[in-house]
Amino acid sequence: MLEKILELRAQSKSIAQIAQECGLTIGQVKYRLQKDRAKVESVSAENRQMSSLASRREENWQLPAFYGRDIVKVMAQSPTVLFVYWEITWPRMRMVASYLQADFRQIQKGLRLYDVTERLFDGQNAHSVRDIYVCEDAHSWYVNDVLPGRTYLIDFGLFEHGRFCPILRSDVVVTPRNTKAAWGEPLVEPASDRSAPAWFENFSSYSLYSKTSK
Amino acid sequence: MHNGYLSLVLHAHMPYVRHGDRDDRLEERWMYEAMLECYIPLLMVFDKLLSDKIDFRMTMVLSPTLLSMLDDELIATRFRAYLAKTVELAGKEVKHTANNPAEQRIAKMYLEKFRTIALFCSKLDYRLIEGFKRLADSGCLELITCAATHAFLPYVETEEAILAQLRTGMDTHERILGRRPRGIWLPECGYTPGVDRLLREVGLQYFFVDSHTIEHATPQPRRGLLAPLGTMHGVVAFARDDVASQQVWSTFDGYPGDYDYREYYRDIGFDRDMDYIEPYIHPAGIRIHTGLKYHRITGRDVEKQLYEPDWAREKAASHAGHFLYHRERQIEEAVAWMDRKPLVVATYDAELFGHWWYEGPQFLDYLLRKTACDSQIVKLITPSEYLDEYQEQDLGHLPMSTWGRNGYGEVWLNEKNGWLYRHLHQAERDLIEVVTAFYEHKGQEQERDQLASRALKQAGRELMLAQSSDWAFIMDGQTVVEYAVRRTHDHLANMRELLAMVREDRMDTERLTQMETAFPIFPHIDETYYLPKEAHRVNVSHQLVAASKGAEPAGVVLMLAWEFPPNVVGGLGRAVYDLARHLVRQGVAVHVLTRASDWSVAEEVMDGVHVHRLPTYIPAEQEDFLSWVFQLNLAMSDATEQLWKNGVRPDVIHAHDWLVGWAAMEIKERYSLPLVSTIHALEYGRHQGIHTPLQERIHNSERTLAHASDRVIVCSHYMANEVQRLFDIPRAKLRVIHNGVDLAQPPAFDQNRLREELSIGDGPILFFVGRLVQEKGVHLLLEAMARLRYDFGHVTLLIAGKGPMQGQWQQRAEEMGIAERVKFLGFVDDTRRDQLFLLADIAVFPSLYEPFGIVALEAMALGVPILAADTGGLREIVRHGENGATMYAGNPESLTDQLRWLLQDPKKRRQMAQTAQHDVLQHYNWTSLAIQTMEEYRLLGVACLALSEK
Repeated sequence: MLEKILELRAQSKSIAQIAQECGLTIGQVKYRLQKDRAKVESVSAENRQMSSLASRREENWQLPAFYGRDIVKVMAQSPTVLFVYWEITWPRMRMVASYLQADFRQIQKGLRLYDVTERLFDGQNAHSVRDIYVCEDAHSWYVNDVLPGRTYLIDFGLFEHGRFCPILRSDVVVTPRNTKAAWGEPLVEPASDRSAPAWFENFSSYSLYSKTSK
Repeated sequence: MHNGYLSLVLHAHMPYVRHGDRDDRLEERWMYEAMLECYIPLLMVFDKLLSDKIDFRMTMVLSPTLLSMLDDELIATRFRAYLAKTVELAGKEVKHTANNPAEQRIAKMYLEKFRTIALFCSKLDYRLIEGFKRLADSGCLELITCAATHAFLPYVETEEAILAQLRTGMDTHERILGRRPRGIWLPECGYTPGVDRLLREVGLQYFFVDSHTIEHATPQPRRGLLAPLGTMHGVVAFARDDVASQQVWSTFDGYPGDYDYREYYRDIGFDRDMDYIEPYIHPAGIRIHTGLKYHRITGRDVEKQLYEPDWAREKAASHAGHFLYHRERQIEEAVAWMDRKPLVVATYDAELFGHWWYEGPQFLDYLLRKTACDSQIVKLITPSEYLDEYQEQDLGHLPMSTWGRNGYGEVWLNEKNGWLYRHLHQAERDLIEVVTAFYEHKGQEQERDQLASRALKQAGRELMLAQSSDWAFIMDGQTVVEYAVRRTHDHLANMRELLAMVREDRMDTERLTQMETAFPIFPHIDETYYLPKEAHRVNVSHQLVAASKGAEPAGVVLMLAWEFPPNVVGGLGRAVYDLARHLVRQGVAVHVLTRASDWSVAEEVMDGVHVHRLPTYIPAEQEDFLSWVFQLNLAMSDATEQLWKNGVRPDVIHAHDWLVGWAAMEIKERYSLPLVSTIHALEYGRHQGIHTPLQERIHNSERTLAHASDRVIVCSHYMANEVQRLFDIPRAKLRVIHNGVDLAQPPAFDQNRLREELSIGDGPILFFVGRLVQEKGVHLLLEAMARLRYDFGHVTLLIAGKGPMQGQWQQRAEEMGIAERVKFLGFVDDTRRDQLFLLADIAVFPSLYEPFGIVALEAMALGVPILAADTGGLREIVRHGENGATMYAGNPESLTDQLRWLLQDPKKRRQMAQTAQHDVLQHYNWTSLAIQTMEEYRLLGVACLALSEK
């Protein structure tokens, strides 16, 4: 049920509309959303613990916590789990805040996961879209329950008035398949023109035209 | 004749644990233990087989870090001491156990073994490499390589860093062993699509994967796991056999767990009295494994019994027989259906043999002998030999995979080590960036270049050492976590320090030497391996910079405009385009950032203007306009960062309208650049006030941008007054610079044919062109037509353009009974519009609101008499009775009067049209407007723009 509620929420439906669609009362919907929020926060508390552990380890720690570079990076941990880390620089936050006319820290942050398998993604032709709320001080996340053998990309963004405002997009990542190929499934040639889209191979060439806006 | 093949592969790897500064590092001891217990016993087994003339085949991976340490004088010296100490301990043990013959027998076994090893080593002069080389020369042992520091390749970010790992690994292999390897062991069998392309690029022919990698290949491999699979990039993947692995690896029923084998965890290092054992453990008194162990596994939860070497040897022989028997069955079963000899690939960590599984080398000895001499079914083979025999493989696409827990990346990426990657990835990018910059600018001072190159080489070493998968593995296993964290941290910190030296050109030779001495791995590392791979992309960007540098531009302008040809909705795009190209003619370099569209290229140079068309995360149609506009601003800000990285250095930002305000203000702040904004129109004017929240939002955005700008340019004094009034902007910040028109040759065409085509007679023609919106005042024109119809019945009104009011106005014309004399032509292109101007006797612009009125100017430029409302910018263009006629805005009576006057006096109107044409030439030509704009840039302190004054 929660899945459905979150899905409808992602479609910018109001609480009342969701309640009607799911056959729940408004209070029930709100309660479930709140519970989910709490769950999200406890997961991120774990994250927090880990990162503070890493930084506490040594007193003369010389690696910066952040590098002043806007990035969302996705890695496939397994066929069904993605790891995402991100950094949104202060100037970018400032710009977003001025657009939303709100304090950046007060806005709900999240990830939007797009399944773009065999698609030249244009922002709206994903096979599926899933939203994940993250809390203010999280800088990485494990996204569970993705599908094996799919191509994904992730936007980091803000949820404001039920709408998602993407602020940074990752490159694509391919989850490994963990089952035998179906009978007759063909061999797919790798893309020969690698300038567009170099998406079916998991790492990208560093280039001076890095793909910030692809 | 054999039925099939068995390929045995041992993967020997040790992270680079050489610590030159001190000889008591426990981690360095790993190396000596492995040498004593694994590498040398294995070498001795192979050596003995060779001298017994057994024609065996074996494949061994020597990781480049291990190879470097085996090749290291200091390591050899320290190993010698370690071995001597161990021999000494074994000797002491023989005495110590004198009154326990059962134990003493074992002590003597060790003493004898260590002495044999010492003898073997001294024959090689402690250069184990020579031993491996001799075996490789015999053809019995194939040696292959690994990534330079055993980096887990699927989680390396850039191709450059992967290639550097591969190339450095191969170079090291060749330097130390004297030949290029044909195959590679991918660290942890970590494969991801694309790695194969890079393997191919460096000339490697094969690699190993875990069995599920081949099982899940697409299409389903016909020969299953019993033949290798080619990838699309032409390299070959051998799959390790599951059953063969389990028999040796399994913690439950694998051979090494046999009760007769030696127990690893009972070591005299822990069992003897401190006084006695102290000289042989860590100086700080930490008890450690000495390698002398007296017990056999015996069983689960039972008292450990003493080791019986003969029993263990027999077990090793029988396990070897068991292993071979199962391979033979496997092969016999497959022969029935396969079209070629089946191949079983059995791969193991070399360190299992001798260290954890004490009898491992014996097992291997028996197995190799039995197979080579006795088996009628299985023949030993190396991967290279197999590929020489079978040159064609089936092809398949392999998924990302590893041989780690659960088969994917979770060992090297989880809550304990995931934090590493943010740092490692950034380090790769930083190194690539600095190496690139260095190779672009070097060649000024040889000495400085040499020093910088030295620093970059060391930076490469530090990065690679940080990339060792061993650190993530240790963090996962929670063993010596402190050490792993320290190592990663220190290498990355060193790398950053070195890069800072190169970037800032302040070399600290002493510090550099210190780092080189601390980690003297890969002496001939080639830092150019980190140069961006796709050189042509770099070239493109260089050309871009060169283009703007070559001509010595009088400054660089970064223009932000939400629309630009060919994407033009209103007059803004056109005006920006004209301004941009005329600035270019004045020697200014102009980069325009604008929206992308499906039907125009992303990057191009139009009339010398660099146009960058930027895609947005969400397409324009999907979201509401405001969200999309913000996305465009994000893209503009990113694009500016890219331009900056590519060496483009704008002197001034020129923003057009509020739609690009967020980006403009952000860029201004970020790069401390002056900001000029042109306000083409105001939300307030467009709607004659602010009525909705959205309008309020836009109105505020206009205000914010105006305030943030160092100069606000408007196109008319009317607009200047409006901006000043609405936004309270100091007059000093405001400049009026008109829009311009191009004085193109009027198109030649047949006027009579056009009249026929439009089925209009030869009477006078009034012409209106513009968007059909209320503020354009076409309804006034209809009313005037109605009033004039008796006196000037032969006059026709042509209305070009489309818009929301079209239907209503058409209906109005019907109602007034003038439909016959009023023709709505719909949208017309530029050529047709010019023809219609030339056909017209009077061009009429009865606007209610008009910030500037560029069409009026275009009419004037073509020599067409005009009648315009005295509103907004039009009022400033048209001087009544001199270069045209004006009417009171919104007043149909006034419009009628003026039309009557103009229609009656053709001579006067031609005369005024001539004056108008002259005016345009004088005041509204783009060359002079571009120069006026440059003057504004200059006044903001953009120094180099002063050049153009000449």
